[in-house]
Amino acid sequence: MSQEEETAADLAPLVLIVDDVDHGREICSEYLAFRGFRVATAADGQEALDKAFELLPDVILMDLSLPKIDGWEATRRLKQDARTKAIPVVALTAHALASAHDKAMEAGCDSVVTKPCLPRDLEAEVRRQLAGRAR
Amino acid sequence: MARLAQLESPDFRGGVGAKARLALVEALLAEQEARPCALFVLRWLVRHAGIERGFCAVIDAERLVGLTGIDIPMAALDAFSLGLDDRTHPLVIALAGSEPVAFPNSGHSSGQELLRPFETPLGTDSFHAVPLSRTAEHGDFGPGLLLLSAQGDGPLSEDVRWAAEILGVRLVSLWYRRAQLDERRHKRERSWLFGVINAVTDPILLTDLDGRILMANAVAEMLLTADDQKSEGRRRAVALNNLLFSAALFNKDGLEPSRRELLLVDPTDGQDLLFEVISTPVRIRLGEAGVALILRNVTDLRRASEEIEENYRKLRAAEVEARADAMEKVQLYEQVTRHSEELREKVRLATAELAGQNELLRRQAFELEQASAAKSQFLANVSHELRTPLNAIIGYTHLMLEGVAGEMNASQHEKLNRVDSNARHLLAIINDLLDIARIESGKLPVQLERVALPDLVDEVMTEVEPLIDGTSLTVSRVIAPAVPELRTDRQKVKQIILNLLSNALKFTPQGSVSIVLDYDPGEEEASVAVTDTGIGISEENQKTIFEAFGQADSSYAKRHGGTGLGLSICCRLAAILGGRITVVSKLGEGSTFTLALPRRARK
Repeated sequence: MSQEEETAADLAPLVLIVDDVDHGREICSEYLAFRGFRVATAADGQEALDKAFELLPDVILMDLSLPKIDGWEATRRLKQDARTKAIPVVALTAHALASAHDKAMEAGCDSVVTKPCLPRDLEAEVRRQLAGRAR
Repeated sequence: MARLAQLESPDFRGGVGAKARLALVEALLAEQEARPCALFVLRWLVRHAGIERGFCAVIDAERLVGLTGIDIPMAALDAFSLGLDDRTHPLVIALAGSEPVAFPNSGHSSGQELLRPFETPLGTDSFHAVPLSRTAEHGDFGPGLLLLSAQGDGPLSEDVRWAAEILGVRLVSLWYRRAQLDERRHKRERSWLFGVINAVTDPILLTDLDGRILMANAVAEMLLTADDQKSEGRRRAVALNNLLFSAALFNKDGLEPSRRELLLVDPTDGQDLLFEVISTPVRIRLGEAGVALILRNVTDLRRASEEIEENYRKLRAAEVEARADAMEKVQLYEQVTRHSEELREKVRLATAELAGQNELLRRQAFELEQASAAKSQFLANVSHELRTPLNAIIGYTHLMLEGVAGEMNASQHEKLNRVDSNARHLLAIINDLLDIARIESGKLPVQLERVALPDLVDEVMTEVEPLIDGTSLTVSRVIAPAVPELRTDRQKVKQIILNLLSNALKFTPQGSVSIVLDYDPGEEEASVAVTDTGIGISEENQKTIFEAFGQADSSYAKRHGGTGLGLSICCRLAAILGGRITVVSKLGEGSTFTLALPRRARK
């Protein structure tokens, strides 16, 4: 891909998708890309932090059960850093218990989406966060 | 007085003048005591009758003793004492006679020594024993003797005899007066003594050794003497008393001091009188003994003593009884102690067992808690592990349905929709199961707030509108006017009503569904009744519909997308809020499900 070709696409919102499960990353990235978003992916907490600081995405979809650094800890660090603390973090978890939900909000997540979820619903949540950020 | 007149008469013989004799008589009359009288006479004789030395002896208590003397040692005078019993003694013979007796010098001639077998204060001098004048009243002897030692050996002058005569008369006169005075004094003293003895309330007696009563006080006389004027009964009593008295006292040795008891009869009233007799030997007169008796009335004392004995016996009996009682109490106490000890041991064992069981229960409770926690964790894990692949299924299905992976023909699209539908049903089941697990583990938080039930019902009605739209059902709602706000968990109540209403709509092919909201102020209970004209539930199935997967007709449920867990969850939620769900139904006619909620749910 050449620089010139990508210029218009650069204006689309960048979503960082963090998930240690391949199909999880794939579904989200394919769907969101299909719907016009720029996407980046990370398979663990450390990679998520690296990509976030490097790319400064518009929204981060954060799975919570991750290798190396888990999603809660990664979110805490992002929210403590001046560069990334304004980026909305949507927790994405297969844990359905209320305690998991509360724990995610405590760590600094802006919202929680329980898996399984329809790709359509996920897109809606991303757009909601973007709208909130714009305001 | 007649004698004095005679003495003073001038008819006297001898050489002494009448004047000297008169002086002596006057001196004697002026003197009231025997000793000075005798001394006057002796001095007079020394002066007028040629007497050198001498002394006067007088009778006192059956003996002749020295009274006074001239030129006689005092000790010798005091030592002189001669018993009158010996009637052969020369001086006793002289005393009994009326003429002077001469006792010549005992040391001059050995032939006359036998005449002086006795000692006098005059020593070995020759002397004359001159008896003092005798009177009729004085028995065998005169009042005494003058023993005189003269200057020469010649006979005594007439003056000596005269002086002895008047001294005798004077001494007798003095003694007589003294005796009279003594008698009077004795009488007085006797009357006093009798007064005292009579004043004593105990009988007092003096008897001789044969028991004859010599003296008795008034009480004794009352008991033991009676004259003829007394009544017959009284005389008999006295006679009996005398008999008893003599029998009790004088068949023993009366001379020994002793105490004994004597029972007499009171002659005045015939009552028995008990006496303690104290007898003491006394001397009545010279050489004669008697017995003094004091009778102490111990009748009352005996009665009192008997009462005391009776009381003491009762006391003893009571004491014995009390002791037996105490023994019984001790035994009872021991029994109680033993039983209490046994009981304590049983309690101890039971307590130990209980403690053991408690420990077991605690351990079991802990294990249960652990198991419950493990179960919850397991369910959470299972849920998590089921959701992840389900997420992939649902996700990829949608990617394809949305055309992400390229366009599909209608048949492919329809088949993929089937996949999607079943995947979602699976998800619903998983979610319901998770709900049940959360409720049962008590991990479902309850958030109490003020809830207006009418508003909530409207909210639910709005949500089910899409379901109603596709049917020909008539749906109505009736809300009672005075339903107060409840304090309960809004979300859970909504979930229950939604479930009940959805069910009614799902299981009612035609007809109507109504929802009635009411409030019972007495029970403080709100009720939401959902009634349909649907398929109904058989009585048999009504028992199981609240259990998990207890749907009456599972095939029907599948057609309507139910998980079969809805009522089970609703039932549990109602219980958490202190309420309940009941059902009234008839197969083929319809059902009424009623949710009852307390005005205030307790956490």
